[in-house]
This record gives sequence, C-alpha cells and structure tokens, in this order.
Amino acid sequence: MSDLLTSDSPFNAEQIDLLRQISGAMIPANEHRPGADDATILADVLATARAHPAGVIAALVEAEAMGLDAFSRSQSAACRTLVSMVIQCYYRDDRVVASLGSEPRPPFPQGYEVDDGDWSMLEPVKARGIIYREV
Amino acid sequence: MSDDIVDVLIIGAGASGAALAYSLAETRMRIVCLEQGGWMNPLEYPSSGRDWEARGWGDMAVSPNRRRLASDYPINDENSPIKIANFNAVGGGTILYAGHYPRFHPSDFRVKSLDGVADDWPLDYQTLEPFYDENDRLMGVSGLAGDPAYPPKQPPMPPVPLGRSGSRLAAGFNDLGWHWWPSDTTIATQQYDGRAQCINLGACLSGCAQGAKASTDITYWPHAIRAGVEVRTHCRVQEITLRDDGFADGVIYYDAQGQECEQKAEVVVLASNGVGTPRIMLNSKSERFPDGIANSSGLVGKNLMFHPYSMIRGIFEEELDGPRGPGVCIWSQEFYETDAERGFLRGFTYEINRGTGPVNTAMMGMMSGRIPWGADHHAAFDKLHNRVTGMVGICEDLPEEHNTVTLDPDLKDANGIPAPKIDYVLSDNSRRMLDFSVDRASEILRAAGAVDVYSEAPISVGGWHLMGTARMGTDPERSVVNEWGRCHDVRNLFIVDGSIFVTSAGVNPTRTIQALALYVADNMKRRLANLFD
Repeated sequence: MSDLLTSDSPFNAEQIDLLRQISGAMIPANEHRPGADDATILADVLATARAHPAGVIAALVEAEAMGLDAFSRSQSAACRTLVSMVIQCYYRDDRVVASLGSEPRPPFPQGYEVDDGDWSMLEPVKARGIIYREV
Repeated sequence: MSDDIVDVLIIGAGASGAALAYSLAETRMRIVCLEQGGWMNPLEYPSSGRDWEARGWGDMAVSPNRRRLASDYPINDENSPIKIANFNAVGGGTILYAGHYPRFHPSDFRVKSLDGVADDWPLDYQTLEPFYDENDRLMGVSGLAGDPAYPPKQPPMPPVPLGRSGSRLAAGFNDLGWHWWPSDTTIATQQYDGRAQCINLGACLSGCAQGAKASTDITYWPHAIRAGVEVRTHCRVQEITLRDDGFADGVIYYDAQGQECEQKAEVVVLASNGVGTPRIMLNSKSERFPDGIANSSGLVGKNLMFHPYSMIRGIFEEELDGPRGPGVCIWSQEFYETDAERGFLRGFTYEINRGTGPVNTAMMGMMSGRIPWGADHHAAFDKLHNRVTGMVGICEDLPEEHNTVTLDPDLKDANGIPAPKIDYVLSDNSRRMLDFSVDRASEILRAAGAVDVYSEAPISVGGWHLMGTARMGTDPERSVVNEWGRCHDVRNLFIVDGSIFVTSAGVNPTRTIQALALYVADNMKRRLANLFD
C-alpha cells in the first residue's frame, strides 16, 4: 500500500485503508477475478477519487460511522458515490474485462461485429398494412 | 467590432443553426454564427479510451449541471421531475444524441382538429416533406423504406443491424402482432459524404469517434464553412439589442477571453434550443419589450414540453448484443395514433435500444439491488452481463403554460448572465401514457423471453428534448413567431430551434427541427426582397 501514499494525496493512510476494506467488501476476489481491493484496481480507485476528494472523504466518514454492513445496505448518496467509483474502476481492469470474455481494449478503433439479422421477420408487419392516420 | 454589420447572425451552432447556415450560404450574404462551445475532436471521444463508460457520467454527461464544462451554463431544474440534458459545442445536442431519427406523422400537425387538444400547426407534413428529404440527404439517414407507420420515404442508406437484441425483441413484437420497423437513424451504415461506416462502437451517446453518427460539426458545418459562413466559438450571447425602430440591432456577447463584445446584424436568428433561446430572449429587455424581446404575447418561455421517457428493460437468459452496435435498433409505433380507450390522448414511440457495458450493467444491478455486495456479487453480475435489453417510450407531451423557462433571480453563469430556471409539472395525460407504455413494453419483453423486467418512468435525467417555449402560429397574441419562423414583434428576428414547436409529437425532434430550419431558410431566401414587410 505504501506506493499509494504520496505527499500530495488528499487521503490519509486510515482513509485509504477504509476505502480498501469497502472495495473488498463490495467486490471480493473469487477464483476467476480479482477483488476490488486488488492493489492495481485500488490505485485506479484512488486516482479517480482525487477528482472529488471532499465527497469521497465525506462518504468514508459516513461509512465508518455506520459500519460496513449498514452502509452497504443504506443506498445513501454517500454509498452510491463509492459504489459508482469502485465499479467504474473495477470493470475496466484488464483482468476483469478478460474474465468477462471481452478483449481489454477501448471500442475505437477496432469496433465490433454485430449480426445483421433476418429481415424476413418484417413480413407480418408488412402484411398488416398502413397504420398511420391519413390527414 | 461594433461598426461591423453582418447580414445574418446565428446564435447557436447545433442542429438547427447548422442547417439554416448551410441553406442561407448560397445567398453569399455575410453570415456569422456565435457558439458558446468549441469544436470537438472525435479522437478524444470516450470510445477511444478504456474509461469510455465512466466519462458518460463525467465530462460527457448529458446534464450541464454534472459536466460543468467551461462551455456550459448552469440550469436550475430542481423544480422539475425531468432534468435538462444538452451539450454546448459546434454540433450542439447532436454530439450526444443517439441518432434515433423519426419524422413527425401527418397527424402531428393537426392535433386540435383530430383530437381536440393543444393547437394545430400553421403548416403541414406535405409542406415540410421536401425539407425532410433535403435534410435526410445532408445528415445521411439509414433506414428501410416501406414503414407502414409513415407516408413513403426513402432513406439513402440501408438500416443498422438488428443484432441479437433487435432480433429477440422483434420476435416479441411479432408474437403480439404489433408494429415494429428498423429505426431511421443518422448512423452511417456505409461511407457517406466523407463519413466512415459504423463499426458498432456502441458509445453513440458520448460522441462517435468513428464519425459514423451525423453530428452537425461533421455534416452541415463543413459545407457551410466552405461556402463562406464564419463560426466564432467560445462566444456566449448575453442579449439581443434593439434599434429605435423596433428592429433587432445585434447582440452583446462574451468572447473566448471573457471580453464583452457587440456584433450588429441585419438579421438575427436564434438557434439555441428550447431553454437557451427563451433564456436569451427574456434577458433582452428594453423599454419596448420590458418582459423580454418579442414577448408581447407573454408566451416566451411558456409551454415548455419535454418528451417524458419511460425506460423498460428485460433480463434474458441468453447472451445478447451488450453494448456492441449502434444503441438505436428498431422502433415501434403501435401506440402512436390516438385511441381514447387507452385512457390518454395522443401517443408514443418505442425506441428499442441494445444493452450496456459492464460498468453501467453493474451500476444498474447494484442500485436496484439485483447485484449484492460480497461473495455473491460475481454470480449476480454474470446473470446480467450482456443479457439485458429493452426500450424507451417517447411520450408526447402537450403544451401547458405553467411549464416554464424563466430567469433564475440568483443563479448566474461564468459571465454573470442569469441562468434559466425550469418549472415543470408532469400532466395526468403524460403520466397515464407513461404507465401504459411501461405495461405494454413489459408484455413485449415477456413475449420476447425476458425472465425479469424493470422500469423507470419518467427517466429523471431524460430532458433531452426541449420544445414549445417560443411557439409558432398565425395569431400574434397566441404565438411568438409566424408560420415561417419570424417573430411577430421584431421582423428581423427569427427562431429555428425546438422553441417554435406547437406540439411535441411522440418522436425524437431533431429531424423535424432541422427540416423546419431548412423551411425557414427557404422562406427567407424566397422573400429576401421584402423579408421585413
């Protein structure tokens, strides 16, 4: 964890540890995926949190006061703030994305394939005829 | 700058301003457009990065109050269950729109005659049809001719793919015997007018890095600029000034350096959307117009219409498209035309979307309680990942004078210009329509094989469509502009955005906004010799 602590960090060691605990409780590791308390993912969470340090610190204060179990069930604005932040970092981690069967890359420039589909499915719609009101 | 008089000054470089500028450019008049945002760089759109989903809630969010970019102005929408969505840049709202691109129906222009509500428009579908066609060519529309919900039209490109999601839902519609059709979209399915073909990035709502989606910065504007139109970016208009003879004199605006500037013009055109346009008008007070320019009717800022949106999604056991592919897919207008037995007047369109990426899937799952904290998180997520699809219902909102845009007495933007304040109440008719749309969509999703369905109505962040706040009509006491977009009170002031809509119809408005802008421009060109008579 020491590599996460920098002199200009808006978070102290206790706050970082609490965020790690919350992330791990939210999304723990299993045999296929890391937990959200994984060091790489947590570093991303902390980097993201630096954009809104006051809101994150307020959420951590609320979580500590409530206890993790009650906090996780609260659906409070503070809880949503942390959930949103952890999720956006967790589900862009290369290992997590790969475990979902996707390539760890941005959509552009390679794009994706999508089936054209079977346009003969429109036959019953055509057979029914015009449905707009004539004026 | 104050002695420099341009022929036409357009305020706003979005959907309508671009179309008008393009059309007027052939006159060789000196045309300047002031835009408070800048040019977008498609290579910096979210889909070019790994954080593409997160940025949709950040710098590319639909809410200006969330984005808070330098180009944005704040909006007090606390007194509205539907929050304002917009984007301020060259291209305006077309940067973030889905590219779902239906036309109005002929019946939409005759709501008073047909259904006894609101007012008829002072023009009809046939009048607008050639301008729809011209706009389709300029924006580049993909679709399939023969939709029985519309009079004949011929999109220039083939439709977007059905994919797994569209095929699954089409089967549900067919099972119920209800209408569906591939959506008309502004997603290029072939190379078109310098634009690349869609490669299914799936992030249309935060700008298209491929350039396949038609935003006006890559459609109309390059043509207009080549023809001599000047676009000045990062210029925010404070007010329209008035000459002693009652004509618009020009505007006062703040440039990129924050300097107050004046630009005089022979003709001023407002193209700033249904909130931005009344904001500028209400802030343009004078002895002649103490309640805002061209506001003798008192209707500037009144009759605000959204499209209240319902969102209905189903969870399926099989894997579908997920976020891949253009978000738009097929539409249904089974419930578009009025049937009083449904318990409401007018109707709505279903816009069928595909799915979401893992971040938004997890967000929805955790916020709705479908994905828990802890050890069961992964299994619950896997049941949703790429297995959710559904639709939105775009419900027609009727004009009501108590739904307003006014100037906030306290809130101001970075230049000190009063911010707009929204006061809006969802009508009983719209509420019943929303409920009906949720019920029928749930039936469609179940028929398509969904094992679970969830919904939100209205979508609270869904104030994408801003209409009616400077309505069109032939009676100066009941409308702000005449039947070709000229203000009744100020004969060299025109409006071409959604403000002039008489009613909202039950479809996305951009195609009609742009067709109207071309129609207004055509009228201006044909009347140049006596434009102010």
